[in-house]
Amino acid sequence: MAVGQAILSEGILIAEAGADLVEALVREHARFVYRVAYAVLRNHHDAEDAVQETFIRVWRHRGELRDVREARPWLARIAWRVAVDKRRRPADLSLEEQQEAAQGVRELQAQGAGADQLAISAQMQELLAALIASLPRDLREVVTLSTVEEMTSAEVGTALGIPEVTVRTRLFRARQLLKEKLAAVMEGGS
Amino acid sequence: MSEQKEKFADEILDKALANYSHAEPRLGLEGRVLARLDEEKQSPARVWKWAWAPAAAALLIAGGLYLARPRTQAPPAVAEQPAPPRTAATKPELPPIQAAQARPRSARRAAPAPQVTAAAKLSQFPAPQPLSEQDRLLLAYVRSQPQAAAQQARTSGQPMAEIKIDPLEIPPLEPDGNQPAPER
Repeated sequence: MAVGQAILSEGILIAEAGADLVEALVREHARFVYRVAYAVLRNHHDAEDAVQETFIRVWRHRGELRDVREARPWLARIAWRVAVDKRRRPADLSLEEQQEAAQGVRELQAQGAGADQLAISAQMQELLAALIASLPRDLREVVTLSTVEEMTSAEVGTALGIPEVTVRTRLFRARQLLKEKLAAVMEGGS
Repeated sequence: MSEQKEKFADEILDKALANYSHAEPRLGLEGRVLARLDEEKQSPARVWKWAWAPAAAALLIAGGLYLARPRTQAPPAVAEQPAPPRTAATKPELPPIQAAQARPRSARRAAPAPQVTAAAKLSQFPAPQPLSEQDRLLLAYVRSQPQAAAQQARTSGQPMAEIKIDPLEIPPLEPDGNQPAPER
């Protein structure tokens, strides 16, 4: 009987420790998880839903938290999967949407906007989202996660389950493609 | 593409990518997530999801008890059969010398007598026992489902509410047959 009580007490301690750990993760990393989700979903409401879903999954697997060595890439991996599952529209935007975004950027450029102004404009962000969406999947995943400001190449690799060297290679190729497409858009091509 | 345009595109791309995922959530994100987690903890669906756990644990314990029960060797069943007639042919007869050698005397002498030795006094009383089968099963259950086990541990000590029964009222019978109508 005493042994059984000791076992139950240990179980209660484990459960409470897991709950405390999840709460600490929420307080420390909720914003980071939000940015990962936003990078994929490009929508504040959907990103917050993804954050909630991510931490519910963490709560359900709180028994495994002791084995997690690095919380950030582990959370990024969960948030990434949740956000990709949640994305309503297909990854590839229609040609019409891309052309609309490109037109907006060209108009800003014609008005004399500089590089800084262009880069932060909504039109450029929309165009960039369209250009990233048009990349092959393996390049798209890497470049999307790399835009989350706090993520290193190693963390992106851990989150996606690929080596860091692969992350760097894909990132280089993705940037080359994006630069070519962007230059073509700004010259007035499609 | 001219070098100048390429450089301009590179610069814009760098800045646009740096700004791409720079998004701030609404104030109070952490609080909303924690509130949602509290809902999740108290969700009845979650409780019912693990409702099978006590039954499974009981089954495991019963199975463990069954496997761990002491196995006594039952005496061989003796069928009542008519004893074979004792005839000279059925009774094996050994030559006198063989019969004497069937069990050598030395073997009989060599049989060791049971020795009673005093058990060593243990330093701790009661002596620590290894975990029983039930304890191991309970331990496995608690480690796999700590939340459910904790919930059961908390609720198992609560006393049951007393059962209240209203006093029974039976109206007396009337001799003239005018019995009161039963109350509905």
